[in-house]
Amino acid sequence: MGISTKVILDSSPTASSVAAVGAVKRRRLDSLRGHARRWLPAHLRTAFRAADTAAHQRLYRPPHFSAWLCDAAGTDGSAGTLSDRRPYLSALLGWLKRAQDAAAGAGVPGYYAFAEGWSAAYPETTGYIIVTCLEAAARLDDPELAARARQLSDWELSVQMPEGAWQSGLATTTPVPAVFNTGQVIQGLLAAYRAFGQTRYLEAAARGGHWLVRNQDADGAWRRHTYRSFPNSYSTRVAWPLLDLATVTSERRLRQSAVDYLQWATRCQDESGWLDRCTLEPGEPALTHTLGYAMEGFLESGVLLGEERWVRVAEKTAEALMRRYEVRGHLAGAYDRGWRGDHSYACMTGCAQVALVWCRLYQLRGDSRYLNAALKLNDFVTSHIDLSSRWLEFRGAVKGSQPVWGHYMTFRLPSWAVKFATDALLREEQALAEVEARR
Amino acid sequence: MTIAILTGHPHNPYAAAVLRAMNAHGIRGIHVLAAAWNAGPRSLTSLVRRHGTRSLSVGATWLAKRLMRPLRDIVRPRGATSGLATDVEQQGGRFVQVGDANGEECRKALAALDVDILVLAGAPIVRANILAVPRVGTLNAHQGRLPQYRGMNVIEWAIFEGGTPTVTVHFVDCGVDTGDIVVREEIGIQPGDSLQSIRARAADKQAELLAWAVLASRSGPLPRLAQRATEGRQYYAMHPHLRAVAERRLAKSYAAANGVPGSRR
Repeated sequence: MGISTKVILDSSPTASSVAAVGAVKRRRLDSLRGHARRWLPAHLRTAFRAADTAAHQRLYRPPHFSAWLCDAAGTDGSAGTLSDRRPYLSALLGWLKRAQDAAAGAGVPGYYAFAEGWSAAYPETTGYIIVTCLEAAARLDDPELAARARQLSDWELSVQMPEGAWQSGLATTTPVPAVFNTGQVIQGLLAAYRAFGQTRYLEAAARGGHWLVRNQDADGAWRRHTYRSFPNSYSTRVAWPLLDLATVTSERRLRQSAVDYLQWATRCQDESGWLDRCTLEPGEPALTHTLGYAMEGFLESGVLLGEERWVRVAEKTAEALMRRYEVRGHLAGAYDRGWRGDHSYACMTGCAQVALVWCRLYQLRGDSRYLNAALKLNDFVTSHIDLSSRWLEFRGAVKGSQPVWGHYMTFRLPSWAVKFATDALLREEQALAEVEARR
Repeated sequence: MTIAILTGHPHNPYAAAVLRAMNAHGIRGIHVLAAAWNAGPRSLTSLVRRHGTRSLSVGATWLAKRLMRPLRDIVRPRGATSGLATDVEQQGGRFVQVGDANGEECRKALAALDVDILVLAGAPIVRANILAVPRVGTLNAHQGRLPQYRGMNVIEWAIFEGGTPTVTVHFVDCGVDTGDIVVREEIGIQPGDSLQSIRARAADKQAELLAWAVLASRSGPLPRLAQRATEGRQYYAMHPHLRAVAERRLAKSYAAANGVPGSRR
């Protein structure tokens, strides 16, 4: 998820001395850059910045240069068509498998970065990747994915904090408990409990759930253990796993906690469907990524509770996005209040999440317009997935932004983008089967 | 009563069909205003925002077309030799070319012609400054049943959802397909129909219904059935996969509706 852009990458205890030397080098380089910017004539500064970025992002490496060049030339990868979505699913899942292998038995790395290569494992996204692996294992009849999901679940148990929470950021950073991350791991462990029937997964999820309840404010919001103590409205994706946990454990306080948050988050929505506080940083425009989280949380909570009002909240935002997408033919990377979009880039994770929500709304409402928009958006995402790249980090990867230098996860291939693209294609397949059945 | 047709292109075949249908009903002296279709970028910023890295090639294509226009006009002079323009002049009307359908030039031309009813035929979305000019109002024929099916590809959407393809003539207001309804007529499904053949028949029906509405307006006020904004849905361009599903559903449903004639409502 987006906050990984803010985590510190160099605090691995096993490589602390190397990291210290790296930090000194980086400081020197930063100082040199500062001097160069000050002393260079204005017309050379832009060229210097471009060269500096190219060096930092290692664009001299053929796979990096090739990815940059494709976006600079405006060429798509392989064209996605509905008749052959399965190869995309295989490629996406192949990328996730390779990512897990790169973390050497830990979780799934947060991302592949042009500048640094594979990141360390990321507990939060590993959590919800477990759900994707199990779903895909069942749908594509791939037992290897189920085995991998079990490994990931066991790893999550090993990194649970004593208080029951899971940490923010990558596994190599100093553990700091985080509300959102805990919610996502709970979801993964619940899926593992259902798939493998082992109570240790449920017990760990329950301890996480209790920690969430203990850290909730009286008005329903989560402020403690959130980034900059900012109460965001996308933690509906924490309320959803909490509700799911409540259905398994029959604990009323878990259910009440989730409902309290949903009520608080609903107050963030205005008449146009805009969701206030649906941002990573206070005052920033809302990424389609965080809007996707919020919508999915409301929607699935409504389904679990059997309460129409939460589905309507999700639908209001989803419809506003659909209208803008259809009129413009493009989903902005982020929208500010008043739905003014930043169309300089597309947030690929957000695109996949929004398509996922639209497919789900089609299934719930039978409104074909949602499916129609989802098909187009999935076409867009798949058209930028390279199925045959000779560089394995790029085969089946989904970029943070399109173009790759866009504002979100710049020059990175996040694991959660691959997760949501997989989810969106699996959901699309299901929705299309329903279209055929409805004849 | 002065009638004018507004179209988005000087050679629009649908506008020619509407004109012919009106002439066939004995309505003559109809003026036609043809806007130059201008899909070019409004500014360099909007070009870059919309097309990103493809801006250069999109901009170059647009510029090349603009530069070619004078050459094309030498080969095919504007006005007199165009088929639509000739038809207009032969039935006693004036053929006026304007730059932008929503521009001041178009508004002034309509005001100068003292138009009572403006008929849209292949025109872009028309704004309030133009809608304010005609005394009686502006009419449009929509390829869908209003208020249920607003927007694009609504014949396909109706078939996809198991509805009946319908044409609606309505007054135009500032919304999209939200003005008062004048008349609706279903398009019967015939043996061997495809989406394309139904669309073609719908276009003929649109021209016919517009001519009927204009004729009816001469003998008194047209019926007006108000639409509520909350009624119906706005549809958008249909994805090819769903279009294929609609085509299959059409083939399947035709047996049931085989040869059912259209009925005016």
